[in-house]
Amino acid sequence: MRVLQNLNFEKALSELLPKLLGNALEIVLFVSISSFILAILFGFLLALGRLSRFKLLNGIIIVFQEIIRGTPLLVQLVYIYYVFPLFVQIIAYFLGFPNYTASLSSVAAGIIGITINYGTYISEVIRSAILGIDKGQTEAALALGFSPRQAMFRIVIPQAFFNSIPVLGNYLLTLVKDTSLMAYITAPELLQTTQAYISQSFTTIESYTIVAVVYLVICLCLSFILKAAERRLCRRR
Amino acid sequence: MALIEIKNLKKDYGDLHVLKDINVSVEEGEVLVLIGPSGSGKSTFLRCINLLEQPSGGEIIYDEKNILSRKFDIQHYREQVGMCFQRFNLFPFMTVLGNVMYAPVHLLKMPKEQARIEALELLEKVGLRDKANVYPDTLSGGQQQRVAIARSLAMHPKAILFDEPTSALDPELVGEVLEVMRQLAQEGMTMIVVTHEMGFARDVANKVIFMDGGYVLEEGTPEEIFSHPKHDRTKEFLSRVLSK
Ligand SMILES: Nc1ncnc2c1ncn2[C@@H]1O[C@H](COP(=O)(O)OP(=O)(O)O)[C@@H](O)[C@H]1O
Ligand SMILES: [Mg+2]
Repeated sequence: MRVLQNLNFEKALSELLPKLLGNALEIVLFVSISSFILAILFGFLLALGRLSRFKLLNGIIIVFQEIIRGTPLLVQLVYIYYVFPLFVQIIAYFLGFPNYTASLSSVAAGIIGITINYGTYISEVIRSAILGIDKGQTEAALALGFSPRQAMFRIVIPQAFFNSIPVLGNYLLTLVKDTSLMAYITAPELLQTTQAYISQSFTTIESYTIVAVVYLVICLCLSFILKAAERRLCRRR
Repeated sequence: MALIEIKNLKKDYGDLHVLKDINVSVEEGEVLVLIGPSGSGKSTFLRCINLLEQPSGGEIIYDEKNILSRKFDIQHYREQVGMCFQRFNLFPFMTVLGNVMYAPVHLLKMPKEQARIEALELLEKVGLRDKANVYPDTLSGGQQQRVAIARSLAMHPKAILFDEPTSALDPELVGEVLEVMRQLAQEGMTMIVVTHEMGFARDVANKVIFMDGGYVLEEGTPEEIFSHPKHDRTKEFLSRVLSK
């Protein structure tokens, strides 16, 4: 097998790995952390909206959730990166700025897309966690003299968040892996960097193997951290 | 002048008329015990008194004010009328001490240090000072209910409502909770207590009310209700619970 004889892991490792562990990893971590935090905030707001008594707001959020859940994240990223700026341009045109060109950096588009997508799923986690808190907790708070809003924010929501931690941890793990979809919108993250390297070095097997292992190591580390954090939190109770 | 006066109280859930026409008054320092079969509306009645349920009709007068009027400050009222639940409902993410001092710090704006000292005194009073820094789920039911009582007391309430405070407890833990409640009664706390503990009712109550089918069927001193019940339903109920 010619392919096997030509394998050159040493070369691939020495050339590709520094790129992956440098800028590419930095992007993955930055996007993962920022969009995870934003997704929790966004999901929390959606959950509160769903729990509010405003029928219209409820309806709008349900439609929004169905759209997000009914389309792939990859399509959403492409849409935000390529189509959304065009919309802005069209609007600018009608507002009297015909020469305005809108664009969005691939990393920004990635963060927005992942935030919206994960926020939508996380909102249901948080909503059901809030609904899952015993009604007696709210009643005890009300009976002490807290307002319904205080009972919600001081007593119910902290417990709901606490109970959501394991599920949120799982979402973080898949979120990190899903940052690889940003390769499709030209963000120089791990996968895109790997593909760029392959196109000049023709080390297909070596490079894809290396990037797969890098993802695996990241996820194993993260999984380990999450488990340790969970155990600590459980002990605190 | 009664501290709490309930007039023609009604509560419906759709077509279900749970409370039909309740008239009760509670003097300051009085212990009122409510007895009656399960489903007769005792919990609903207590929950109407602190507006966890909105009454469908009637009046509840507290300290000469109608608590059902629109302008009434419900939160301030609830600070003054505490409640202890069958299932304790302690806040699981706070320590015992945290549970007791939380409301005074946040609602009465009591300085933390003062709240802590008062909370520890209250825990001392219910016999749980040594448990101040543990989380509620490490306590027995009886201990949790005593913490819940301390938590209510921390707001310096004028009255406390108890909804079957010992019904969720193992029999051997009932005594320690009733003991704390007896002590409160002796100190002059106004209490409205739903309970199946007839011994407690007989000893501690100033007034006993027998509820059935959404009405107060009989009202009197413990002596009158337990030794000379007039109503057949009362006799039947008492013979059932006392034979157990
Ligand atoms: N939220 C509610 N919705 C509908 N029915 C209720 C509700 N709460 C209580 N009830 C009904 O009211 C009746 C009285 O209940 P409750 O006050 O809990 O009785 P008790 O405490 O004396 O056992 C029961 O028939 C119960 O099913
Ligand atoms: Mg009941």
